[in-house]
Amino acid sequence: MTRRLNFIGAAAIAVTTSACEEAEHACADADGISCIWAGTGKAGFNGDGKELRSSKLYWPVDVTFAESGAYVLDWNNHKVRRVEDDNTFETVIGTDFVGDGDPLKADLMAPGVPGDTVALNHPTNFVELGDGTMMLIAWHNHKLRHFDPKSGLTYVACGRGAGFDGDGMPAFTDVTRFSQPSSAVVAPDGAMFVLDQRNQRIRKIGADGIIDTVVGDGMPGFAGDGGDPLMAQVNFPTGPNPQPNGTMALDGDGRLYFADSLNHRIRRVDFAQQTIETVIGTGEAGFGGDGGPGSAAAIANPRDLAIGPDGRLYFADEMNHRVRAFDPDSGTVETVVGSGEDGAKAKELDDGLEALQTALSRPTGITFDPDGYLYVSDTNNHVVRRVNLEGVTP
Amino acid sequence: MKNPTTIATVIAALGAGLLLGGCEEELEGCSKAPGTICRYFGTGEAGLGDEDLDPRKTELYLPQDLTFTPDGVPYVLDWNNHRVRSIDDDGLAHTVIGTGYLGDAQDGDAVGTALNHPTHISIAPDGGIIIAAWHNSKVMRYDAGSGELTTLCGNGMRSYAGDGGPAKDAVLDLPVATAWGPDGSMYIADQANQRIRRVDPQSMIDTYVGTGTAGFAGDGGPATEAQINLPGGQAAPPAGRLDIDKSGTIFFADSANHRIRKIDASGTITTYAGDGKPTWNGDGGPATAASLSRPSDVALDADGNLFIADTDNACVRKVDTKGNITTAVGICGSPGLGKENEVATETLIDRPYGVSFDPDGNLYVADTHNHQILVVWAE
Repeated sequence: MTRRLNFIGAAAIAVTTSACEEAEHACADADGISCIWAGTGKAGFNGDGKELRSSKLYWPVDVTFAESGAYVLDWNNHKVRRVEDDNTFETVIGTDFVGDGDPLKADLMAPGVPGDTVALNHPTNFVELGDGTMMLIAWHNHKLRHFDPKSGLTYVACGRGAGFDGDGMPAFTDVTRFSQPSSAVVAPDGAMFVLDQRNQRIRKIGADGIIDTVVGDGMPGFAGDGGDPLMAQVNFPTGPNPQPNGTMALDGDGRLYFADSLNHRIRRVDFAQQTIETVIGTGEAGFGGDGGPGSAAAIANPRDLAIGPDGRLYFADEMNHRVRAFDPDSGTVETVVGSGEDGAKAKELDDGLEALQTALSRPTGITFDPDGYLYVSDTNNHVVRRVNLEGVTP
Repeated sequence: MKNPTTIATVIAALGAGLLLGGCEEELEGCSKAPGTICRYFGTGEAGLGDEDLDPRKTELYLPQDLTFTPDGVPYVLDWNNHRVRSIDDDGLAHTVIGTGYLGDAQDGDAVGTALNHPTHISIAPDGGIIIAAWHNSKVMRYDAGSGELTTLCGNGMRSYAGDGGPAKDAVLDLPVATAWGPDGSMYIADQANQRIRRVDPQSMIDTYVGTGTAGFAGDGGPATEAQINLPGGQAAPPAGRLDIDKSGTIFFADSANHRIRKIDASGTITTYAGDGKPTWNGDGGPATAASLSRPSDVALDADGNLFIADTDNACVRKVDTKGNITTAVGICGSPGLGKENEVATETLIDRPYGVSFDPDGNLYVADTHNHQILVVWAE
């Protein structure tokens, strides 16, 4: 992996902080080191326009790198925040309150309204579409919201209240219903998979715009390995006040991995064969199995997935406070980030330590940037870390 | 309406940044001069403050309201932190209900229970702390002695059911607040059901106000045949809190009707304040000819004056016992962040959702969008 020096990050460290901010200490990028990239470690919102490491986050759940910039899903601040050229945050979707869009409902039609007039309720995922525009998975709003980074306008692409409807029909109408959709992933042909959490399904909006269920029979459970994914059962948190769960990744062969969180498994769907199988996890929550085969590894509430530049499948092993990686060729699992201690229980927030010595707390989001750095949304520590994985070996 | 609000908020936020300066700076003294304000809880910045600090150094996040026990113990609804926080005998702030995570408000150890956006506390005649676990659709009782939380009403589903039966089997939809009548009845503002429900002293539940259909109708007639209007839907902000005087008269923030309704002890409903137009006219005249904008809460003082959290007007209004209205806190139509020791009617607040009194008669305002609780020292 080659990397260019991050000039933005280096410049930011030299910026003099105001009297109200703690003295900034440098975290030098080096092989195997994990540095706090954004957040102070204190939950809150202290405004936009501050340098990333002086900006408070509140349970950040993911980072997205797109042509239009880097975005942080600042979950309990109910905002999508973009990193500006001067290495500060700017809110692009979300207001200073919790809600569901524009009060006048002008956001129900394209081109929509400015994103900073649209109230959100716990956004979880943000994906780039082929034309450079973005789709927000507005989890507790049960909607997909389209965002144009050029105009700053956002509108509801599909979804209204919670429900299950629309299969077999054009997705981008007012008919489609989701129930706390948590994530999406876009395929090379423009199709988009949507994990529809409380409906216990994965749905696919095809390149032709038609939505259909592709995984799950709609009942929570564990069933179906070796068979048709439409007959399989998956298990995501349900009820009136669930935690968000379930994310996906597509590999180069078009196989879909997803975190079957309450089954404590990562499963893989091969649409060419129309089969589903477990690749990681024993089904019992726990920690174990590093260095061995994925099917014998114990994991606990897996969250986000990402295919790394090395071809491995990385996953946020939330309740183990670790990020782990699965090699599809050898079939083995290893820990790559996290000491396993719950960082939120420690007095000091780790920064600048080796990746495997860094205490995370319930990490939920992982993302690679174009240079190959791993960004870990260290959710319960209220920071995002940037990890240089060069040379990380257990 | 929206743009001026946003701009004023931004200007106020910038002002606050300059005002606060160094973080370790000693807090400005509070003169406690009658009619002036002080920050009571919160720092003015949204956050999850650490435990066991001075409440003025403890961040809150969109606090909705607070309630004092007769002994003067405060309970603060720290809404977007999903917690109830209090102040102990040493003057330090700590969480008494809620883990902070979102959850289903299960019965049991209160600090081990996960809530979803609690909105209100009332004090039962037996001293129980009654929590409106708003987005959990439950009314629960907290025993401060044992630290246990017990469900009184609601099963967690958002619906309408159970009238005529035991309250424990009833279903609510966003219960936003409770208040107690002189006979020991508990009234529940059941927001998304567009009703006020009554739990009688035998713990049976019925509808006391509202047909269940949102609207504005029924003044001069029986409250059960009247329509009220509270935000429903998934985008609804908390709305529709109430207070009850010693005679059993209910005062109720009919938020989306931009009015305060009054239900007398015989069950007749009238409008007590607000002409239905969401603006801020009418100070100095009769309250029924004045305008309120999305009022969220009401509180009676010991003399029977009614204080109104006039949320979208960014002020607190006062209706005296003759029915005349004035502004008590803030400058209506001018949201902003005020300074310590300012005269209450000259300071700025931002979208207050809650008003309450302590046992000494000092007025407290949940200055929600400034993430703080203010106190106005009694005259």
